[in-house]
Amino acid sequence: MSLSSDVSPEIREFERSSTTALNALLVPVVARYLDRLSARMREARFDPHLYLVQSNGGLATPEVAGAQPVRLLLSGPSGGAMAVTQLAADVGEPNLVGVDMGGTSFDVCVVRDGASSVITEGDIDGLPVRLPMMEIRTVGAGGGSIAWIDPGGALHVGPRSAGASPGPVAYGQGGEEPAVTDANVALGRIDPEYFLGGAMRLDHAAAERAIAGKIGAPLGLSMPAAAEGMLSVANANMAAAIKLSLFEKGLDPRDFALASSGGAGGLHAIALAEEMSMDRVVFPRDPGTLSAYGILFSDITHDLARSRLVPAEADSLPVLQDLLDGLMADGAGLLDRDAIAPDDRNFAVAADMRYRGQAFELLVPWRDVESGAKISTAALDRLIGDFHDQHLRQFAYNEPGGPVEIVTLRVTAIGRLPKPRLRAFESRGTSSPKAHRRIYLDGDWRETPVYDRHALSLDASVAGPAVVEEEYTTILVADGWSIAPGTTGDLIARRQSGAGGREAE
Amino acid sequence: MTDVDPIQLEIIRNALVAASEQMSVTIWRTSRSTVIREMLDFSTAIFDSEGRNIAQATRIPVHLNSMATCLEDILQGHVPLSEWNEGDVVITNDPYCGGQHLPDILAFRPVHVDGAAIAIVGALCHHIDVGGGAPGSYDPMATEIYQEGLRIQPLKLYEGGRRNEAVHGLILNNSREREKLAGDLASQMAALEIGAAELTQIARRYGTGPLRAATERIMDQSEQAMRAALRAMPDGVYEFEDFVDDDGFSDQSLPVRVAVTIEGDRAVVDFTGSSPQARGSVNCTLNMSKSAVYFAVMSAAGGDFAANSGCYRPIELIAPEGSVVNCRHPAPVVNRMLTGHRIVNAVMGALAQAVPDRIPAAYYGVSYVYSVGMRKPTGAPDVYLEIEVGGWGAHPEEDGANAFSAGFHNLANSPLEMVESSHAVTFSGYGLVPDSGGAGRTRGGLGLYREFRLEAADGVLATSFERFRHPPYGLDGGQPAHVGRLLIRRNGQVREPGSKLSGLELRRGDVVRLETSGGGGFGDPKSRPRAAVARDLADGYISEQVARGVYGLEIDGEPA
Repeated sequence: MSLSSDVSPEIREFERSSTTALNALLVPVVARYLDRLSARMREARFDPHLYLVQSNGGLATPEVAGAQPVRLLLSGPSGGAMAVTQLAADVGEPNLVGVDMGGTSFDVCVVRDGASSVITEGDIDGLPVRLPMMEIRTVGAGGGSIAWIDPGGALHVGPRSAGASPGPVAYGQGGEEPAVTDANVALGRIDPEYFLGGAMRLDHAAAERAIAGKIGAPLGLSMPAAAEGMLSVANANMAAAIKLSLFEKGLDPRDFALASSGGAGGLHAIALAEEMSMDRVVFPRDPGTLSAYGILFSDITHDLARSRLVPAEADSLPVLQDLLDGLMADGAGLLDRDAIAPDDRNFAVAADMRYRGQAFELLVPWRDVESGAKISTAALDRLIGDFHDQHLRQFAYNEPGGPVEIVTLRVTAIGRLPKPRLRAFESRGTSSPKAHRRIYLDGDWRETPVYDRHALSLDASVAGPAVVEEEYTTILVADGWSIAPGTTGDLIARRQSGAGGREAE
Repeated sequence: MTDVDPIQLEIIRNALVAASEQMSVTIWRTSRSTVIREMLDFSTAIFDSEGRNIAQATRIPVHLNSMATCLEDILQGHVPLSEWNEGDVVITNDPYCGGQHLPDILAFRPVHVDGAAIAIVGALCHHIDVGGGAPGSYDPMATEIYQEGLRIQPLKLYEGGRRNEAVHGLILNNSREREKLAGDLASQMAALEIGAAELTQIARRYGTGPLRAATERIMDQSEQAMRAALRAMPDGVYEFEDFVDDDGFSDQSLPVRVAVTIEGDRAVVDFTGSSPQARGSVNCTLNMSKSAVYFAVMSAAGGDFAANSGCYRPIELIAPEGSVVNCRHPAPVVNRMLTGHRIVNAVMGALAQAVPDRIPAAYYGVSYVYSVGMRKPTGAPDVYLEIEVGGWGAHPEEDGANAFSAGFHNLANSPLEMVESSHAVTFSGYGLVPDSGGAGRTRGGLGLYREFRLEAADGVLATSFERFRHPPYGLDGGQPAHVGRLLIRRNGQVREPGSKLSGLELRRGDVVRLETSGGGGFGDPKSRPRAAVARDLADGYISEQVARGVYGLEIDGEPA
């Protein structure tokens, strides 16, 4: 049995019902899984603290997860977002856009001032889930995005994807439509012999044929020009999607660095950064286990909320105080059950606010409101002021003095867990290339040095054009960029000063 | 003219769409009234300096297809391009100058690069109230446009970035919802500003020459794609007739008669024989009819190609002046959507004969608009405006979607709890209406019902409903859907006051129930798979009576 008053006690009946129905659907599945897991752990005499990752990036005990499994729905990507947040701290880039580009999807998350953003609603298969979650935008693009010509003769890349099966033509599994990965293979950017560390052979000739026949011929372009064109279009589309997700929050890409993970990301990240006029790109160490790494840095969290539509004014203080006290007490009770010591507790308060008449709310953190404290008129004024500021930042206008409403009050009860120390990085390489390869870049075939990632040295940065390979991904360093590991072992690519990028401004 | 390579072309095309999406996001997130915010009744697009649509956000086709014609009218007849300066914003809501009805205010702003206007950005919002005889500016009893609200001829609301306060004040003074109208206008202006900044950046990055070449190519490519789609349809003359129930004054039905001629790569859509213009407000101006026809033909053409002015070129419209599809000033037009939907239904019905495997049966075909005018406890006026939808027509291969907004107006659902928290009404029901979908091999989608009680001391209900008498048609032996209806309950007495009401007095405790029409069925109901009929019965989508009587389902071994 799932009660919406437990699972998602918020205004908007459809969203709440959908969230609760999904929860009810998942309870038996997740409960069965957790039972089996704990039984097998007992058998193996393995007795660690067991936590599950929630969509909000926090952890939950098996008890909480079993009762409200809907909170786990987006735990995978949320681990990735946690990792990017941690990476932002590791490499000293408080404003970081994380892109995770795989074969079929492309996830974007934004870290701003060292914190990733949380949204109060997401969706699964078109069904709304009204719960706080890490904000991750999924764009229908990846290595599998297919290039095609419409009946009017215009080139498109995506949104259709070859997926993992049949996959791009080069996979040799029956795919016939040229995909982005095929363009990378045809231009020598992916080594057909070293895809996934050599685990999968790619059919270079088939990729070339498909591009020449299906794209090059109708557009009157040579094979390499058509392939490079496909990549330019794909990069422009991905950059536009990232820009739109920043734009929705009133953010400017030029204030950010880019972090790239995912197998297909390395070949595109620097081009995306150029499109968005960014100057730095971070390629995390051990990209294959990045999400798991992020999870090591999360804490137990309980997201609590109550909806009550009240005007944001002093007369509402008693109501707000009641709501807050109730939420704080609930949060403390939950942390008691998790056996979190008082010193390891944190409570973050926020309100969903809007101008009267608006129907969507802004999530506004309520600074300096603490457990057990009386809410002062000054604190309420501060909250309202922050709302006006945030509205202006996000929407290009505000109405200071206009009537403001509070729709929902939120408390996140946090139980801090011990954190691992950063892994030490020892630079052992000499930054000498392991080979050279012919790669098509900016309209020409060029003999390009290929480096093994593990052979790059802290002290000798490599200038583009260059290719850096590892088992999991291939990084293309463009002209005008250089790359070197940072002290943490993460690779950092920088636009060389004076290179200026492609922007005509 | 500078040329543009096919790669740059695609990149510019996407950049233009991205710019219009940014404009759309701006309105979505910043507007104030529920019409715009929760029902998403707005559109944004980008035009070349001749007013032709070159890119648009995925919003409301009925708007988008008319914005270009409106802008062309403005440029040719009212404010020529030479008079548009940097920072100017020209607005209009005049149906007799390319608009559709008065609540839709269109706003355009030129984009200047190096002193020359290289493009125009535009945003259309359905505003909550622009005056006239009824709250929400929906007065079904209007017989002249003068009764429908403030009519704004094309004029500059901003000159060189400065707002004309006199005009702004005049507009607000004519609205029952001053505060919301001001907020929505502000968000419309913010969208134009964002769009202009993006366009400037695109022009600087790629150069104005290549941008100009690209916009021509973009339209040409869509034209080619549209022509290819028309060529793929068999040549012929396809006729169809559907009806608007009435104009709110008499019981007289208004035929919308169409003959679609497919001839090679072009289509001629001829409305000769359609009803003369009506006394009531169901009339369409020519631009409105064009917009509906473009939508219908583009949907039937299917295919993946960019929607822009190039798509319109192979389509010719013949609409007799003075008819319900091309009305003369000062005919009232606020409910133009009633006839607009019927134009779509009729054109689709005609094209179903050309491409029977692709066209679904009729969708509900109405914007079920109603408004309740009330007063807040403070005495301030309060308008609760709602637009509801119905069932989608059955497709040759699939059942119609239940209570699903048609692409033509593309509206979102407004949560009951949000309505209740803002207006003095309490909902007592919201759900699907059983048996409302037309029976068929594939079943039409179900209509919905919404039922609320008035909590304010009194209120005034205005409605503009349709499909109360002429149901959405079925195809290929499929049955028509159920018609919609409106019930008012007071002290246990129920009455049906009709579909088009102006100023019906409500009292506290009155219960208003709207049931919307479903979608038509496709194919013989007897040939519907038995498992599907049984599932519909179990889901409560159809009654036992219909399962036996219409579908011929045997229940417990009993034949029908």
